[in-house]
Amino acid sequence: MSLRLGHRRFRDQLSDYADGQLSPRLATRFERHLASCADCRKELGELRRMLELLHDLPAAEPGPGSVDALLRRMAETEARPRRWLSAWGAPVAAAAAGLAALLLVQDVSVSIGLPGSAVRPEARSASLVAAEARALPRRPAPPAPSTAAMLGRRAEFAPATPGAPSGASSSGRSALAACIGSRDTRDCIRYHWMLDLAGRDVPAFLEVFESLPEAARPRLAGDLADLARGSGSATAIADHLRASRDPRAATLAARFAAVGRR
Amino acid sequence: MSEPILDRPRPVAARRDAALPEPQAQDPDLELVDRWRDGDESAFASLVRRHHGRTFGLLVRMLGSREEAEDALQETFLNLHRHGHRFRREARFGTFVYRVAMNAALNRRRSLGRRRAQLERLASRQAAGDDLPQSPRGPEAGVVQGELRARVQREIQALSPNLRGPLVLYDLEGLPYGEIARVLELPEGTVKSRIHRARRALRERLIDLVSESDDESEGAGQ
Ligand SMILES: [Zn+2]
Repeated sequence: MSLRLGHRRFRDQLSDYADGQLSPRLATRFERHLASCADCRKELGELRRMLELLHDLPAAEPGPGSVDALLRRMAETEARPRRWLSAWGAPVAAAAAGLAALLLVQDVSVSIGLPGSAVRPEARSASLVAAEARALPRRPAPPAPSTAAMLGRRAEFAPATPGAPSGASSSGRSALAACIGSRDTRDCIRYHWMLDLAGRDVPAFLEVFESLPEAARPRLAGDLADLARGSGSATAIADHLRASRDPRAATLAARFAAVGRR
Repeated sequence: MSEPILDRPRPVAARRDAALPEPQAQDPDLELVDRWRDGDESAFASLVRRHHGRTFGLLVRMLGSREEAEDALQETFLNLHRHGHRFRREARFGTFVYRVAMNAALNRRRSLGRRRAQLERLASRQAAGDDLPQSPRGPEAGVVQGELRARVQREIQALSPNLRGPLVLYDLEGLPYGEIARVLELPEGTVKSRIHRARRALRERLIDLVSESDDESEGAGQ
């Protein structure tokens, strides 16, 4: 074995050696190499000093009262009415969704890019879009694999929803994947969730939609229509909205129908 | 032969195991989890109290700022409250908490613009000394040490998320490989190699602080 090759093998053991994780036999061999290799000595020294810097970082303690404040915020939200979310049946899920709603209000306006952050109390349900998005475990992977991972894991984590979610179709998934490739992941999941809702519960969908500030609605409608077109569900959603005979749905229905014809 | 070389490191396993009990040991949270599942919300509050501090510490290290950590902490417990009833006992509840917290941390401010803005805010706050605990020593030493720590924390932030998580869990939180593998849902071998890669990357980022002058590195000892 050439000296260089040996060096490479030992270099890979540096971290383990510094942690005391090598067996005595390997550690002895490593030390023999170390005695003859200035590079490894240098690197070991640097590694040790770096670890000292790391271990010198003090543990961060939460401020006094921080846990009480957190619990109070959670309890306050808990006390709110659960509205249509209770349709999910699972009391824990419904209670938690109510819980999640409160602080996500401000988040949804940031992430969907809504102007202004003043949110009326009725807007609470809009935040459920965010709550639902957050329900999906999110991982630090690049877009394509993370999409698969999130969709694959949704069934494991998300509460069961009545009816067949339109987003579960493979075209829905690929449209979502495409969206995630070009936009903020959480926004895409929110859109996806809203489309799903539009496909099975028009009043609930409208409630969410209209809880957003008026100025933000056209853009949201446009984004939703685009995503629906991508998944081939625009026309079906337009029909569904029209069939509800809800006058509030008419404009939206026209918008979905328009992209469906493209 | 120089002295540091013969100073063979001792295994750090004892410290690591102390951080969290082994999974096969009885999960100390199970009783509370069961009570919570039976509808006792106060049991959930107890779980929050029990895991709050440790999770906050993890989030500060992951996110580099107390403010960000507070937000992520809230998100963590909300997600837990929502999904905790689906917690399966293949891992300890504490592991599950860490998993949810890591997801919250790694997915915060993901989009590029917001991430950049966050880093800028972080850098300016840290430059102002707002974010990291000050040393209990004299003001002067405290400033230097504060700056040093802020720099280290900033370089941790600059690691890719794939490397940052394993490094923080191993070198700062003191978790053993197996536990990290369960938190991150990765094979143990992957965890190990990421820790090594992360250390190498961080060493390079901090090279101006950790490299010795030439004569010292040639074995002159300390
Ligand atoms: Zn070598």
